[in-house]
Amino acid sequence: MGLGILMIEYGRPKPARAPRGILPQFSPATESPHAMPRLSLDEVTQIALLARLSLDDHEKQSLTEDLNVILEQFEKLQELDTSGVPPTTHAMSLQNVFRDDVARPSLPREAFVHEAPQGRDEFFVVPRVVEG
Amino acid sequence: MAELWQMTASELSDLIHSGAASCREVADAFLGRAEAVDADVRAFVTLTPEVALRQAQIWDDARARGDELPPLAGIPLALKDNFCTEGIQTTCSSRILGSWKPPYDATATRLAREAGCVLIGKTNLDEFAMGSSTENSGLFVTRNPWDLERVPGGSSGGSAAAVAARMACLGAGSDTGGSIRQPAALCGVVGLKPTYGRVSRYGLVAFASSLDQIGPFARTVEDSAMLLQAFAQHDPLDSTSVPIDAPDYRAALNGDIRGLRVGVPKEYFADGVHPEIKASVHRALRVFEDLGATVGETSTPHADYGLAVYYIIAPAEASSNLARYDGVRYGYRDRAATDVIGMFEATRDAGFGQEVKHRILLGTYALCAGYYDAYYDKALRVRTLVKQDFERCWQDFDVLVTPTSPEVAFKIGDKAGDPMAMKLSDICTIPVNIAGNCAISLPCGFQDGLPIGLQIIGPAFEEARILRAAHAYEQAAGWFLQTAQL
Repeated sequence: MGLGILMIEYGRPKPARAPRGILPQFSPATESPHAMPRLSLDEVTQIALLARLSLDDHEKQSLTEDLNVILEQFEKLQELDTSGVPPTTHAMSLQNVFRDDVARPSLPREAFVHEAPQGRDEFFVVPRVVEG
Repeated sequence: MAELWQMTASELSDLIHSGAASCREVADAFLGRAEAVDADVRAFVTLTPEVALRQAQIWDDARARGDELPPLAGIPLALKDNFCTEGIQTTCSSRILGSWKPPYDATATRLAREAGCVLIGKTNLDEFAMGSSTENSGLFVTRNPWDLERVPGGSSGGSAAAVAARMACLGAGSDTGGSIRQPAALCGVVGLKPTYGRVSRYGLVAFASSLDQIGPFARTVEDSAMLLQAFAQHDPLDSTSVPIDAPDYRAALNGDIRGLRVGVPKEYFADGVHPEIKASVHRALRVFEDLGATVGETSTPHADYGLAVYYIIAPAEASSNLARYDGVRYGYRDRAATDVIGMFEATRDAGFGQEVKHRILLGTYALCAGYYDAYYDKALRVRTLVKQDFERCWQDFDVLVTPTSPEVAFKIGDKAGDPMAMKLSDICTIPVNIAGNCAISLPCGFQDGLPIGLQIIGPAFEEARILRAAHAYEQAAGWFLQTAQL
């Protein structure tokens, strides 16, 4: 799945920066600093690609409308000045929970492969990835 | 004498421990009840009579040998179908899991079994726990035992309905934004969301990992305390599980709440809350005063922002958690595609329902570079403000009391087509998850024959305190004696 790159940045303090690389480039539909952009059908198509969802045209249309209703609700957050407020990623601030680095038995791979749509011995079988 | 399926866990436990009833008889009674009424209620995705009878036999044999029985020996339990159960189909009410059978038990599944519970079945939910009515189940709709035309609430609607209809004595669910408390309120039973970290999430299929928490459903507060006791253990397999010993919850139910400082945050009584629900909660507050508690108004000014914070954080986490369903490792795969990316997309398109796709897209968008700061980072900062509101309240109050849900059970289909209507159902419960507090919902009256829920919120790890307050009110008010007629 293509979301790994996004999640690496989770929780780090970040200066505002321009979109880059494979990520979709959105431009705000309005110049107002508080107004959130509206999602277009094309943007929903791009996000669906990132999320590996193939949506038909009807689904894209109805999801675009619904998402915009919800995004409108998010604008409420812009009323608050949070410049001096630290982010909370977890309700409990447990940090760096370690265990001893000791090998423990784990379930046999076959137990998982057996429940997969297609498996062989210890492996998951998928359609060919590399042409050859 | 009442039927066995009408009894509470503490009553059944006494009968089983004294030998007046066998675990087999109790299991048979609840399985018979499920057979009689689940065709109407449809709480269960999977009934597990063989497992129930086998587990009941184990405890009956143990008793015959003279072994000491655990406290919940022989008590029938329904698990939400997002708890992994070894060798038993676990669907999350989603087509994408197909008939997947987990190769291992969730820690909560194991702890309930070790405490003696007998598994009656796995219950319906909104797909991957996303929803507030169980209408988003990818399998079928569950009905409210008080009125079969209405929803049981959600997402743990199946467990709430199973307990309300007495098909299980105890139930277990997960609560990310209200998914235990809101269905408990709508079905007229007790539902408790423990403090984040109190109960291990290992083997609970992840929705929003920084918010999800497992908790009990029961008919009484005492029964809730008994099941919470089984669940509340540190688990090294979940790094967010806290290494704090749980107190004896049942012992905390002494009925004495003299001097308890009850805060009433005014934001939870806004216009969106039905007047009859506000009136019921105010009547309940007078009962607290009669029992010797002091009641005072307070304020949590950022409560109104909770919904927006939740609908950024939860979908963001869900978009990551649900990336694993790609047709490779779990139940369902679309077999038409010949390339791997096409297989991922076709599997996810056919396997996920509309609401799940909706939230995956919303979360993916919120995490996109360029909008991360405006949405996700902003939500995390407002989350801090919501948390600080509660911390200020705890300086003056021991517990907070609010409605659980702004309305009673609504008609099936009533909220279809409006993406915000359903979400407003959780406005009173969401701030608790955002802050990581504990809270319990219990019945506090009826509106047109439909149950109303009272929410008691406590600071982190003060489950014993909210249980004590809830128990004192419950016994004084007596609403728990009323049952759905089926």
